[in-house]
Amino acid sequence: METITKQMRKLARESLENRLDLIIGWEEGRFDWQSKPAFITETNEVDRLSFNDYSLKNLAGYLLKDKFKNKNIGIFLKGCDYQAFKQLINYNQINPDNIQIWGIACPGLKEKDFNGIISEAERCQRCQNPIPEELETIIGKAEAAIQNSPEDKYQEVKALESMATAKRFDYWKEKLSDCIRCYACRNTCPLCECKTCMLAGGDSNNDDWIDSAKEFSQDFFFHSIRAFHQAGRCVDCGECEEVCPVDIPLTKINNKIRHDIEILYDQSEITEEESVKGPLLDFREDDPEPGIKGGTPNA
Amino acid sequence: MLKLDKDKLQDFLTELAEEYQVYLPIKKNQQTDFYSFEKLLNSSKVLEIDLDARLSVKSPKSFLFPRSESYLEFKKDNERLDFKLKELTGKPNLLFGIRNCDQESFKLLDKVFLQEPVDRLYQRRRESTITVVGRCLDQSETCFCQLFDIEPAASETGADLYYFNSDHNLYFTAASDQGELILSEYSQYFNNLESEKETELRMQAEKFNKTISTNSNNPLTINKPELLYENKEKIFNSNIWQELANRCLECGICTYLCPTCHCYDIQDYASDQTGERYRCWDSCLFSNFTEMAHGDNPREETYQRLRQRFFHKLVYFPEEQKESLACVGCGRCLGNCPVNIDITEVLALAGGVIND
Repeated sequence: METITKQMRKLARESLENRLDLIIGWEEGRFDWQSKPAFITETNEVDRLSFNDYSLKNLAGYLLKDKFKNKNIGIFLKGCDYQAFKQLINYNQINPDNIQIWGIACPGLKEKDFNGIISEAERCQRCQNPIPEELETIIGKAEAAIQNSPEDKYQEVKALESMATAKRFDYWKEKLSDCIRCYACRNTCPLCECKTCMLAGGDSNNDDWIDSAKEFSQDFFFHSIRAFHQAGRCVDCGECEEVCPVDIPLTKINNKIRHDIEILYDQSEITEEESVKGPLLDFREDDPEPGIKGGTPNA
Repeated sequence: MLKLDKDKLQDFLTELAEEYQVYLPIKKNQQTDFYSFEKLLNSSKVLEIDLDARLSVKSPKSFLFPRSESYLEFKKDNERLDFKLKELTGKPNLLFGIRNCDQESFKLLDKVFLQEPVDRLYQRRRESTITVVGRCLDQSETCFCQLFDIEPAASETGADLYYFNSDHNLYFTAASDQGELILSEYSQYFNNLESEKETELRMQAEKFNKTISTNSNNPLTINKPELLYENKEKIFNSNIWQELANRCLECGICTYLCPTCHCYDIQDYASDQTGERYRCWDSCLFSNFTEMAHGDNPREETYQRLRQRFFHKLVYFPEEQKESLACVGCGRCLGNCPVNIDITEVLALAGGVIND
């Protein structure tokens, strides 16, 4: 961690002196079990930068902010953050030309729960891309990066799938009824890129598709539609679940859909290659149509 | 002071639940929050009452001011439009085991909702709610109630009952007629205790209140909350808000978990002939919070909305409410803001502006 921090500061200092206006990284939080996004514009501030066990926040989403759009930005991205970054490019949301990315070979991070217990972050236990290998500059040692087996990726999804439908519905009913609709899951998601959310809390209240009333139907509507909108995009960075104050296991919904898409469209890698579009950005005549009578079941 | 053996707690609560809708801290999915005792008792799940958790995830303000509350039904009948106010039905609420910071937050909510014009929706819940405070004899690292002169071991004003949670017993003191009534009505569950024990507990509480209020090393209590109020213009116009806004996600976590945030919206749930009007929480961090019908928005930028939240708590509220600050130092924002924006950081930054 200390080596990563040192290198972050060095890279930030050099590039602020040269051509960049803004560096987006992490700094120490209020407590030693916290870390927060840092926005550095002056060389005398670079020593604020710090990568610690809790630097979970996916910074890629900040690139969507209007105020940062015309700036020359340097940004630090862990493996999961970089996956999200690639999706933002695929969906034509950011212009990579004026963005300098530095990758971090991520050792796997930690989280502290409600009871004060510190453990390995759940999202890191599924991670298959801790190192943004395609990048020119990667800081941190590759051999120190977290290693998981491919089986770890969808273990939770498999457990969910093995539940009977009625039981699964009860499970989600119980979980979603705790929702307070703070919309932190949506707002922290680097790939919830809509300027105005048509579901709720957008810029025009009258257009909201869901009702603000605290009803299970509305909670269910919000979370299920958001999950469908993330189909083909979500990179399982785990932000949504991480920020949820009432611990709704949101990544399970997204990962279930990710898993289905991988089976249907035989595509698991997110690339920037122009010829490979996202599964839901591309139509082919021989696409599987499991929902249609006579349609092909999968790829 | 009367003592209740914790082994008898569940029986006591079961009997209380016949007369009241009892809510208490229950551990569910590794988190502790207030749930209906009766509902859990009737479910097949194992009930894990958690009186040791320093604080519930959500503030218990939702029992006085629900997340959403339908209060008016309307129906179109030919040319007639009928309105019916929804009555509050069911047993009165009893909130068992809230902390003194949350209890103190009720006093602040009272200032808002119970002064003229009285908010009847709040009033009817407030008047039928009994509160039982679990005294704190320690703090977690996110606690800073002493900054607002709150005594966590409890000053015995506001709630109906207060208890010490010590060894195998709960030690109750009544602080209202309602509280006295409960202690006498359910006297079979309580025992008297030796006067030495009572003295010991009281001394422990006093000592704890004093220790934390005089500890000058706590980084959360270094900057006085009156800072914004006293230097409002300079701080209002400073660039700290822009800096904080860089990372703010504009979600509602801080406002929705906060025990003193109380802004709401009124909406209709309407179909062709019938409908309901309800009010629900709203958050000043949401971009549409101040959006006008004609599309203009006086707080269009994130930094303006963020500044509003803290100015409301530490400047506008005290201006309106005889110098009361609208924060109780529960620390929920410190622990839950995904990007670590909290009121003590705002005070520290504001302190920097003043000393510049």
